[in-house]
Amino acid sequence: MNKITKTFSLVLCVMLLFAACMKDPLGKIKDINGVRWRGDYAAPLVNVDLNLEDAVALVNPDWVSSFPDKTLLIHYDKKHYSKKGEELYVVGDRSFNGNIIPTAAELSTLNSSGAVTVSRNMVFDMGPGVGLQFDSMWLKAGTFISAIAVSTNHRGNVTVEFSDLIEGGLPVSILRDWSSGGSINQNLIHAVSGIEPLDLTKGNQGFNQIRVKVTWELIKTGAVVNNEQLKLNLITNGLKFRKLYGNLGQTGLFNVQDSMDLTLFSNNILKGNIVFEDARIKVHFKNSIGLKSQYQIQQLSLIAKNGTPVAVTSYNAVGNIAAAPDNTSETEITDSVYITKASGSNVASVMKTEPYYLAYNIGAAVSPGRGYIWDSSDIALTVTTELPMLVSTKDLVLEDTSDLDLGIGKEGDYVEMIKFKMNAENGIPLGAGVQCYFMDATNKVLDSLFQPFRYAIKQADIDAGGNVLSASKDQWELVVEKPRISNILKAKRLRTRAWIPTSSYNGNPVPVRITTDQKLKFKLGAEIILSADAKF
Amino acid sequence: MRNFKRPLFLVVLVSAASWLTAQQNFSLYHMESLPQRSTLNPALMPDCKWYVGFPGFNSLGVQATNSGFNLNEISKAIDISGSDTLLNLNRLLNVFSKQNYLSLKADQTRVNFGFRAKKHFFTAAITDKAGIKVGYPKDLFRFIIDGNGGSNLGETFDFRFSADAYHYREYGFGYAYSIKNKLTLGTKVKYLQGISRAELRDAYIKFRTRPEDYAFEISGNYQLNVASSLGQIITADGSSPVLNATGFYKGIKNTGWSIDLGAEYAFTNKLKLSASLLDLGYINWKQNTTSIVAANPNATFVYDGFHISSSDTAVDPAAYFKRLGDSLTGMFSSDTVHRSFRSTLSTELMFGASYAFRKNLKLNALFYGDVYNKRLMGGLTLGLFWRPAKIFSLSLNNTFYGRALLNPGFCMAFNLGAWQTYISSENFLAPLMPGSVRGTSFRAGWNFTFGRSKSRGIGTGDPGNNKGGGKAAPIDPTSI
Repeated sequence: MNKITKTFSLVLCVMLLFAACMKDPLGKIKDINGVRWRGDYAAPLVNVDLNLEDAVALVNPDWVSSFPDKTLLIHYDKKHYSKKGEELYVVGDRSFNGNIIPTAAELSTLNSSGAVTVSRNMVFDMGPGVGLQFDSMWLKAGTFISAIAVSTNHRGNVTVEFSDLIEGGLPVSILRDWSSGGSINQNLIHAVSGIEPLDLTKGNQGFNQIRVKVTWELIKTGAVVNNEQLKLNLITNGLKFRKLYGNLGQTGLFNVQDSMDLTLFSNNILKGNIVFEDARIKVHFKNSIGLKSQYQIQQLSLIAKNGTPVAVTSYNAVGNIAAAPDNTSETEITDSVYITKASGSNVASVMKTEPYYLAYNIGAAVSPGRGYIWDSSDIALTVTTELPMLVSTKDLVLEDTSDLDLGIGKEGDYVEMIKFKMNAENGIPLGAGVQCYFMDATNKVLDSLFQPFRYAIKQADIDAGGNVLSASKDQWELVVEKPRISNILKAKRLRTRAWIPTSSYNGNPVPVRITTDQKLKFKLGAEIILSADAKF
Repeated sequence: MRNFKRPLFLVVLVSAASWLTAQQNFSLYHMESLPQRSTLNPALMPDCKWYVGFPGFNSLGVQATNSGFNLNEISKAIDISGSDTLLNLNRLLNVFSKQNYLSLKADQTRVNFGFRAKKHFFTAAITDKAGIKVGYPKDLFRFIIDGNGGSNLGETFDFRFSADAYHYREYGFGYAYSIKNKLTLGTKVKYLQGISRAELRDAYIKFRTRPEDYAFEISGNYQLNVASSLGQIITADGSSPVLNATGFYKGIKNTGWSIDLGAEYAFTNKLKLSASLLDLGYINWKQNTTSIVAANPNATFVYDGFHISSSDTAVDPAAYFKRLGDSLTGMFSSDTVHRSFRSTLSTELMFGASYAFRKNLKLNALFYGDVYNKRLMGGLTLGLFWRPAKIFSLSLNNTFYGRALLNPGFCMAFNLGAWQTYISSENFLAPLMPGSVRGTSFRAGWNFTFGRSKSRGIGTGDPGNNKGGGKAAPIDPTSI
């Protein structure tokens, strides 16, 4: 082996030796029995940009609305309904009798001419009751049954015509005939189809009467003797009106005695004080009866927590409810009794005492006189407590305590830190502060969310009149690190406390006006640090 | 469960690391007896008068690379904590470069021959080349493991992806000329037939988290070009492609040209320097092309939290969600067009130096670089060339490539009369030190060479005057 060969071999050996001496990473890698990892992740959560009108629309509570001047309004409503028209006025079933005996002259004509027509007009009383005068009815259901019993020696026919009951533009008329004499018994039936107007004013009384014309045609087929007779028994069965016109008397519509829970004041989580500057009570009628009616407010009291009633003052306890205008279909009209500070009532000042209930007793009855009613007509009574959001709060705190189970097991150990970042711009003269107290099963506080406490959203700046001048801007971070996370994960109970202050002017509390066009904007993001030594 | 998870984890890890980093045929460059060295520098002539490659097996090479990491680097991310051996995922990120690549290449020279005419050397070859190269960003893993919070707030994560898959045939005609035994210039002109191509261009998603409100700012773009001379790969109706593969390709419209340039200069009888520029060219893809491009290039999307707002959710929540979805899908929606496109070859650059400090022993150096995605990927090879006998020559070297320092390679050639065989490999010690492996390559072939020098000593004659016949004046003045 020459020198070069030796050199080359030496180089090769060195390389092999070097490679052999290299620490084998596979051995180390094979020992891996877990991973160590720490990651820091951030994400935007919500981006809120809402005016209060949209906020209300989003939640859609039935107890919040607004005035035309955009002032937000909290209201408590309770509704009551009168009986409907078809319950107030019932057309009872009737039975009338009539008897037709041909006169001697008519018999003579029959004998001499071989035929005679005997015609009689009858009027029957459809009167529904004392003091009620039905002029017209638009019938939607029911049956007229004309039961005839004829004793005759002759062939003939009979026609019963209801001159004032119109079907298809013509009076209702029913014809029956027979081919030979004898005793003939037949029912002539007319069932109401669609809407059939019935005029009850054509009788001599001018109301409540129905006219019937009976025409009996005799064709001589036997001996003309003196025993010819037609008996008519007219029966009405199940007649129902769609619309009724007349003097409908002084019928009572309702008499409501009830109370309303004013939840905002009676709820136990409320502490501190909230003052509504212009609370109101509204008694509202929605009338679809075509008759003037009369209401009577017999009681209207606000009941304090201890049960003491304070009567609401300065309102019209008795008044009229206008009649709904007549038309081809049902209409309605509204009428209200509005009880406010402006009308001299004590309602606003009593409401500042934070009563728990509103008690009331209200009645209504149809006023005498002519008018109409539909079968579905009624009067709806709505009693409303209105709390316009011209408010101020003093140390207002809402609090609630509930069981807590975050449902996070050992995975919680991986959380090293959670951070919330808030950017808020509030154009509402209300602020919000929330504190969460995490407690064990014995209600011992383990930790709290904000340390130290701070308001989450500051209230907007206002002028002396409580109107918003400019939105407040605020930015904060809430950092919860591992030891506190452990406390929170151990918690079994959660007490949430919320502070809701209104804006003040130059440090003095003034009532603020909260309107639907006031806006709240905020962005909330979260950052979380996770770390783990996880073994396989 | 533990017994199951752990082997699985190791298999994944080792498999990932077994993708090896770029290993060109560096060992071949200084193998003076091999005609195939002209593929790395067209000015490098073999030491024979003429040669013919064994049809179908005169040069067959495969190469696999991974620029990302090896097992050694993974082992540096291990924390020993008591009885636990934990893989620190955050530190594991250090094994990645900003942009990382996996690639697999193969080539086969079907026909290869060359001959000398005085100072001129002519070569011709037909070679099929195929490969796939995928680029992936470190930021993807950094985003997943480190997260977007903390110190990464406000930073733009650049998820940039690339992919190239190609198959083309090269008809190369080489020419080298020696000037006064000092300077040799060479070139190879190559006519290219593109057979198939898929390339993902300008594909990125940029992701930034705003520090002030944690809002996500996302923008992105992509373009996928596909073409094949064998048929439409992406069909209009989504049906499976029908490709008509044939042995030799006629009527191909996907064609192009490329050129190799090279030079070698002998400063002294002992010291030679050389340089080459390879695969400077392109293919125009006109046949069966499909491009899927972003309908909204570089579109930006901002998500700043679930909107509860007058203009969105409060008005129409369903419309808000639809708009949100449309924005996201719109960002990544695509248009499909059929248009020609041009792909450039991956150009390579080499600088070589050779110093013959003994009669049959040379010290060699080679700097290698290629340009991919506008980045120069470089490597340096240092080695020895030894020719102990006329019938045998050996090159041993080590390559410093990327962040891998130990990549030993070799090439051996045997000349038994006219019959010549060779084999070369990089990282041949890989079985002994798998931890440091980033890449490997293998090449082998047979040639028939004629008119080689009968001496293994240093020649002094003019290659142009080389008459052979046992005179100690081989073609290359410094060849052994």
